Amino acid sequence: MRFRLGRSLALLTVIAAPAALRAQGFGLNEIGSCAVSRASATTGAPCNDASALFWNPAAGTRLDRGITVYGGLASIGVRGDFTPDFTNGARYYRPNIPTAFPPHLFVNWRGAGRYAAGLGVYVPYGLTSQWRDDFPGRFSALRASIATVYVQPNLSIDLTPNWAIGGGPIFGNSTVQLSQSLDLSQQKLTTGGTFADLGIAPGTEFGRAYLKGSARGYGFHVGVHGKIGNSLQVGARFMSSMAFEYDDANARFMQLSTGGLVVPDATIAGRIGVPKGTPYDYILATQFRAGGALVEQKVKTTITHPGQVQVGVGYTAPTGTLLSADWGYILWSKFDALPVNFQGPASASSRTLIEDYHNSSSYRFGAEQRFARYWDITGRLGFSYTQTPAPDETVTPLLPDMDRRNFGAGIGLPLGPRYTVDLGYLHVDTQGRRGRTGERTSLSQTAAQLNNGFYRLNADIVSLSLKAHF
Amino acid sequence: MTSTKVRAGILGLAAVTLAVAACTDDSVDIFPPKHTPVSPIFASYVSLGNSITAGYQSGGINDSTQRESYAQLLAKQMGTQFNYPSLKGLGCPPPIDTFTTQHRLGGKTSGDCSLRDSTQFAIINNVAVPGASSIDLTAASTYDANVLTSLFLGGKSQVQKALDAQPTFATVWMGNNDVLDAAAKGLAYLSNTGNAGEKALLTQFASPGITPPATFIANYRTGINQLKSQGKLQGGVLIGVVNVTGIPLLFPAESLYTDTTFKRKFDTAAGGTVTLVPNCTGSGALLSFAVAGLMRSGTLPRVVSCMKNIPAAPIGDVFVLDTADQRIFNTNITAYNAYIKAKADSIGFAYFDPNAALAQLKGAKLIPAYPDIFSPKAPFGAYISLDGIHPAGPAHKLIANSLITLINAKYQTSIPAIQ
Repeated sequence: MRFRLGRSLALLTVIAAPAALRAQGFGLNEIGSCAVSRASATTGAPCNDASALFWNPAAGTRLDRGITVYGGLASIGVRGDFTPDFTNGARYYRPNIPTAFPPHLFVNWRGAGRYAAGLGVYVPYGLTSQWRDDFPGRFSALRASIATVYVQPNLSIDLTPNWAIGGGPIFGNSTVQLSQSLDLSQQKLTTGGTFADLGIAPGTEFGRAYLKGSARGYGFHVGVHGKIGNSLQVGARFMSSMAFEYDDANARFMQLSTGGLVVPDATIAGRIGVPKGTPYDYILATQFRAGGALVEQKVKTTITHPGQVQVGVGYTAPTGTLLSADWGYILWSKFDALPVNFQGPASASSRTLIEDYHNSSSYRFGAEQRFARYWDITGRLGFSYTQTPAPDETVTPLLPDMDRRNFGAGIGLPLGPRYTVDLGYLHVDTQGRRGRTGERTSLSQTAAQLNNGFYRLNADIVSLSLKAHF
Repeated sequence: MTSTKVRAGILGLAAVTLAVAACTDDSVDIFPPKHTPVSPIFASYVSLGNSITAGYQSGGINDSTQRESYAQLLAKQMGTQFNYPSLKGLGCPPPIDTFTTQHRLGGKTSGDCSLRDSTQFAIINNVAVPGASSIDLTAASTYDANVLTSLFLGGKSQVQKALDAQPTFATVWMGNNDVLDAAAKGLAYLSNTGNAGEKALLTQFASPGITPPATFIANYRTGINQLKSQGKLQGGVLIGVVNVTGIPLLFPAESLYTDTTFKRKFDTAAGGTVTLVPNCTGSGALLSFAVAGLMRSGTLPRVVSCMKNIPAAPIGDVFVLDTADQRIFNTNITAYNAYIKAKADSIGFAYFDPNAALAQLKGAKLIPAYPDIFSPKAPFGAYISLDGIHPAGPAHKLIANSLITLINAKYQTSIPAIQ
């Protein structure tokens, strides 16, 4: 057979990497129900619970003396669709994303002195994107999931009665699972060109690829918090980027029928090196057997989770209403390219993917009010605006990221002197964005050339946490 | 009092929040230009057929000729998105650009093929393939399959490929190749002939012969039924088979006897003086201009006769259609078209007879009675391309406008005519 594995394998692994990266681009900041309610405007004025260790590692000394535990989980429901241009707006494809339930758990101990120590376990980056089998972009991603858990021991120190610093190392563990369809039209011919040149339509599926891998990473998280007078407080935090090297990921492949496609004529059959009328399924089967390119093999890639900077200010009005405003900055610019290295028969297809992400800002606003006359309930509101790090050329099935407006609300309900239940809700609203279902192979390719449809995306997060103080 | 202040504070924050929200950048990338069909029934138009529908002209096809197809013109007037399998480079093969020298674009040969532009669409609306006959509606690999079958359909049949576009409207112009090759070679024999001599001639000249009407009808019925199986088609046009005895490639043999200038030019095309057996005058026989090339190459002797095997076989038999042969073609084509019209009526489609337009052009002398052999650019007139068979751009425009008139009348639509 005079053809060889081309782009598909490269794509495959790639999926993994971008999946993770783009997932981060869609980081929803669902760490703690109070923070969800306040749209993450919680660095300058941290919530009065142990999730403050994430939002401002210096805030451990701002929590009540004794042991404070804060744990729970969020449910994340993502909806959206893709309308390809070729359907003239008449048809759209919806994803089939299962609801995710990322957990969080924080413990903080504050003694009588100037120190507080704690531990945080949280999921700063995670995403599952899953499309249906007929989705045109399944050759970029049919299903991609990443879950990265950070474990952060934390130490907070009061430098002065009003100023505190804090921080700690982060130990991260990341797992990635991906599947994508393989497109016959993208396979290369040894005579030059691809099967697409021979008339095989883009999107002719002949197999599936699966990838699974895990990696560990290390970083740190520091913060500072200060009080200015009785009504103002300020804070800042910096979480370092963390590189996860997936050195031992597995790639597996499964052949699927092309639906009875045959090589119709003698000329093209001669180019491929088979008789006229030969089923493509027969030709391709050799690639999935020993000696073929689509056999189980290892693949390596590195995904660097971006660092985060956040600064904020809080103001407590005479009415007791807490108002907070934060600016977040995610350091995406490192992700301009992504190396993908196969360790098996497809090693010749190793390549570097174009990501070209940019640093992105978010603007977060929150409010909190305690209602002593109504069972001591605390009410919370929030709004944030998040710029996407994805350029117009990198809006893909893995993560069709776009600017977002987030609307939050929630309550805190005391259950006796030791316990409080927090309930938060965040609605993520977007305006939609043009994107692509295929691969970008050159920096010279523009969004106008690449993008072939319109993505819409929104999400709802419900977060439930229990706070306990001993 | 306190709670009033609290409410005021919350309301104030909400107002600020909304104000900030309102100030954020709501700009959305614009959609690509929307195609708004003149009627919803044209939301997805597909065209099935053969070389004419694909845009084949002058013995070749490339992106430029593809764009001149009547189907492309019709879709544009419908206002619907219409993707076609664009060919790269000079074409597959590049068309002839000079009739007198048979020179092709870029100096290429009939064996050259630049393959397909792989950056184009996965779903195409023009699924017609040059060389396709009725069996190719539903079969992916047949006797007719050629490199363009692969490039355009990628291993699928025309109907399969058309259904990918979830068509709401279709035109089908299929059947010309069930008779064309036989007519161009003067072989008025059915493909299932039991006559050994006829079989030998069909084999010798690599012709499939004439598809028997029963076979044609079975192929056609299967194709149309499959096309309708998706249940989304709201309308369409079934186009009748061209009476191939009227194509410009075939000209009255008698003209060689009566027009000495034409005879001299024909001799030049044939590579030497052609002997005329005195049996053509008043015979009504048609001679295929394709014979000139075979005479030039020495495959056939430079002798024209209008009676079979006179002076010797196969002279007078091949590349000549006597009146009996013409009746055979007329009978079969009439049977094809009767079925196509009946099928159109039965499924609520319009039926278009292309032969009226062809006759009109001939009657108006817009297609010459016989070719101007020394004309490098228009030997068959402005309406027929340099191969003497396929319509040129103006004819495609004429066909498109005829279809527009028919469709508007049938479906009460208002597709604008091409000016």
